[in-house]
Amino acid sequence: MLLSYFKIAFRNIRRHKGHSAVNILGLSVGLACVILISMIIKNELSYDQFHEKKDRIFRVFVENNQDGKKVESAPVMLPFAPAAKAVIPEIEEAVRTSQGGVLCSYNEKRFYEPILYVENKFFNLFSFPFAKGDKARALNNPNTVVISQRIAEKYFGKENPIGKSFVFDNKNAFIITGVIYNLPLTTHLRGDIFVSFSTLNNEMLPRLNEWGNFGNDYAYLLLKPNTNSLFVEKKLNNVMISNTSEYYHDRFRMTMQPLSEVHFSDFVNDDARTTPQMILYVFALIGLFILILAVINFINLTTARSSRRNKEIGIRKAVGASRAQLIKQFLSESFVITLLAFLLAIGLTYLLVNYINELLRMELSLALLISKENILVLLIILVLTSLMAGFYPAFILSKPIPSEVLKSSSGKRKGYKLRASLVVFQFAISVFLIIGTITVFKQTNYLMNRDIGFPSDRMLVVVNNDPAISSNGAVYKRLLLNNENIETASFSSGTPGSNIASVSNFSIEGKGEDDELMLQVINVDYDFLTAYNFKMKSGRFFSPEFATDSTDTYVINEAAAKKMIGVNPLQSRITSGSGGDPDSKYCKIIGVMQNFNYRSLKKEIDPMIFKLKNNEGNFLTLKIKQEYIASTVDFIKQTTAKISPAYPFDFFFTRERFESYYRGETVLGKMFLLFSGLAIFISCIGILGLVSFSTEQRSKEIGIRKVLGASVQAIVFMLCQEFLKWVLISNILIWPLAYLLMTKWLNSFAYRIDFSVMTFVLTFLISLFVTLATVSFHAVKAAVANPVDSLKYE
Amino acid sequence: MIRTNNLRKLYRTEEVETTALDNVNVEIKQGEFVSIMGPSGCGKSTLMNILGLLDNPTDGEYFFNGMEVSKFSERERAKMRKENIGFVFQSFNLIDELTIYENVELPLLYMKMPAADRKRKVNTVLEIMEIMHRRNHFPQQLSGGQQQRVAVARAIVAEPKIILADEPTGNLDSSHGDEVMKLLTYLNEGGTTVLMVTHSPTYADYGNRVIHLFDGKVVTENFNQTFRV
Repeated sequence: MLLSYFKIAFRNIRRHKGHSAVNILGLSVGLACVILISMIIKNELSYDQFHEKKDRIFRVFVENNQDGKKVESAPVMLPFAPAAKAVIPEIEEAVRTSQGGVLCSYNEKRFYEPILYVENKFFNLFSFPFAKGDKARALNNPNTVVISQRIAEKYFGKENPIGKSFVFDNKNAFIITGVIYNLPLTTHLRGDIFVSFSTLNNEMLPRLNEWGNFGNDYAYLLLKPNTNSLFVEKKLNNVMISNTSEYYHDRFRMTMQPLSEVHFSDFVNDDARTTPQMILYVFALIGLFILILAVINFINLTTARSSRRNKEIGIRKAVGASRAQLIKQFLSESFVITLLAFLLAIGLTYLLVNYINELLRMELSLALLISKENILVLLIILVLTSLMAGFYPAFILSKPIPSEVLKSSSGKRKGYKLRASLVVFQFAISVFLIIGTITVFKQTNYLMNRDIGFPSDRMLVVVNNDPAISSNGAVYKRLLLNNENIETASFSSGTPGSNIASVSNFSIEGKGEDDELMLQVINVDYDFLTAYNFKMKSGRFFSPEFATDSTDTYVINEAAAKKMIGVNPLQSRITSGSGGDPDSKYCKIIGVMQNFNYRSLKKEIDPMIFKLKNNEGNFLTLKIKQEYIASTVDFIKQTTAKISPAYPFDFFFTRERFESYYRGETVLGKMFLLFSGLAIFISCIGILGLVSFSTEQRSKEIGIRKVLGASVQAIVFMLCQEFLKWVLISNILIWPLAYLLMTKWLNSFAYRIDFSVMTFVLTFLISLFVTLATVSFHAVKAAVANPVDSLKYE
Repeated sequence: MIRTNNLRKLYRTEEVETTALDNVNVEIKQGEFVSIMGPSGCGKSTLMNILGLLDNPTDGEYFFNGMEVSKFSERERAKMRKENIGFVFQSFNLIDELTIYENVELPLLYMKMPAADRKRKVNTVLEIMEIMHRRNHFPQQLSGGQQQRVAVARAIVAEPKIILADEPTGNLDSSHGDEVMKLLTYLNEGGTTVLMVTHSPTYADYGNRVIHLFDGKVVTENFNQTFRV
């Protein structure tokens, strides 16, 4: 019997090619979206899952409570991990890492590389198998390095790198003691050069033993088997409390997250590769919505055409078919169509996967689908889709009384109300996606073009890794400023877009610990203010006229001044640290600078403090004229090479760096665009099918109206108005929900657009235009048809 | 075999109520060949639908083989139809997507008969109807007469107790129409009860009895004196 049903299904598909094509195409696009999104979500969920001890690994992070706001921050003070291990017996291992960057050289090959300082037990926690070397001892000694096969090939080609040395920053040699297999893309760690943590000392890294300083440092804990992690989490804070002053007790809370959650964190100052979890939910919802759109199409088209099958249903019932048998038949037909759509969907996925990989920087491939688990999931999607799509039509089609359906003139438009509701729901989803697309694009555009307090499109920043540049800073600047296209030059220890975070606590003279401040510290030179076109809100900036500026003064920004409650900054002195030390040096605040965005506009402006260090710093900011950029860059490169021949030229444009912060939003916007395009496409297919059927059904009515004098325009309007009504209703219904959800998303940004009425108007116009364009083809065709053809047999 | 008491059928829309059948009392015995005649709209097809268990009456009683079936659910009616009644329609009502063989096989599939038995029965009736050679063709490839022979084959394949034929010759020319009437007569002579709706007095004479309907009521019943050979 089942075979008979499948045979009928294929014959029906062949017989009604147009209708079948519409159904199969619509379903296949929906299924392709589901498959792609499943692959994306699976990829994201697989981050860090390859580690053997993954269930026992946790990353420590800090909850900052400041001014009533809770901010979660990934960096952890460096002394924390060994202190925690010493007092919490449930911790089997505690491992620290510190992110950095160096100029890495071997013979003539020199590249800037990100590096990760890791403790020698790092490879006990994380499963990065060794291709060469001894995992247990590779990083026991200072100045040792473990590299990936990719790095090995990059520098050493086919040679065995074990025992050879890199030179870092043209200074120190690091022996390669191990080679690991290439890291999978699904790791939250950045970089594939691992340097022994014991290399670091207080001179290189003063915060090594400081509880109050944070940098790009992280802590991981491996708990003993069968340990209750909540129990350990409660003890973490006590470690911090017993090692720090009271200032920290209320402001910080040490806590931890399982390794599986690291990739989904949304912490500040986090070097890990992350994807906000909300994005996955959004993608999953979009996939589900698009599949629902496709299923609704199927239901609508099938029930709309149900009158065509009345005769067959009546005959089958007359010869003895029960309702259950008819339902089985229609479900089988639905399964065959879904199966064909599914096969087409696999093809569509294959075509789209490269675009998705490029957009999201992933390595998805159809080959990943070939596993027992994935095939089972795909089969479940296939069966569920076929049931969802087929059940209602089967239920409706099998219902009628045989005597009714056997009458030759059975032309009732049954199920109209449900079809109308489904079309409205379909349009509503499309409208929501259009609003989402417009909002995301507008917000991203706003972030990229917002005034961030300085002319970012003219700022080029040279990254200075060579100490020789600092010792020849004045000469270097003078040489560069000889070029008429370079207007200003300024050294600093960090710049907007440099991603350098150096936060310390400061105490105000005469005030207690409660008034201490956590400030972002930047060393600057005299030209910093003019280089960035900043303004002073009060007081003055550093000046060569005052000899004590380099030793006894600070400048702060408005955000820092705001935190000095009840105190006039210009009449205050502050010092770094808690101030309890009688040798603490308090320095005068001589000025308050305007706020500017040092980091992404997704975050509020940091309170900042500036210290004068003239003509030295890791970054040299040049304000350049926008004409002749290429030749100016060339000039800068050649000049830098004269001063620093041993270091490759490294630079960035501040504007591009800020744009990269919004890569996530740009990608989100493109994904919204892609999926709203697909949703509109599916909806259009559905409308096309419905309008073609509707005009066919109403051909007699149209013929009569034309004979009685109706114009083509009147006929077209009559046919279109039903759909236009649905567009209007769906827009009105979905606008409140879209407004709420988009507003919620926008509120996650420190700087955001206002939701304007124009978004709704534009959405309405787009949905109207698309619908009219789709409907009008068939409507005009029906309106210009010869009425004699439709009235021939009357 | 069939008996109705004061059968009524009303059709209601929002504004209009139409009485299709009004207190109809008919009785049809096993083995009879009964014709129902009347002008268009008199209720012939409505009566056939009710007697064929394709629809329920609004009021009245309907006894089929001694069982009161007027209040049966669609499921119960389907079961009764499948086991007892064969249909022949004016417009043949074959399923275009099925071959001739598959059309005739359909009732047996719904009875869940094993494949071997189905094959035997279908081949038998196809031979009787002399359309075995077209068994793999589709209905649209056959002439009207051939299609009606297929419809008759389908009607008798499950060996029903009664055949309901609603204007079986309506879409046929006279020679094909005669052919179909001869088939029905042949089946009746074999013991199958035949109930036929027709506009043609000539074809009505093939039966034992003619029931005349007018405006939903039975107006006369005649017994035929003429017998066809």
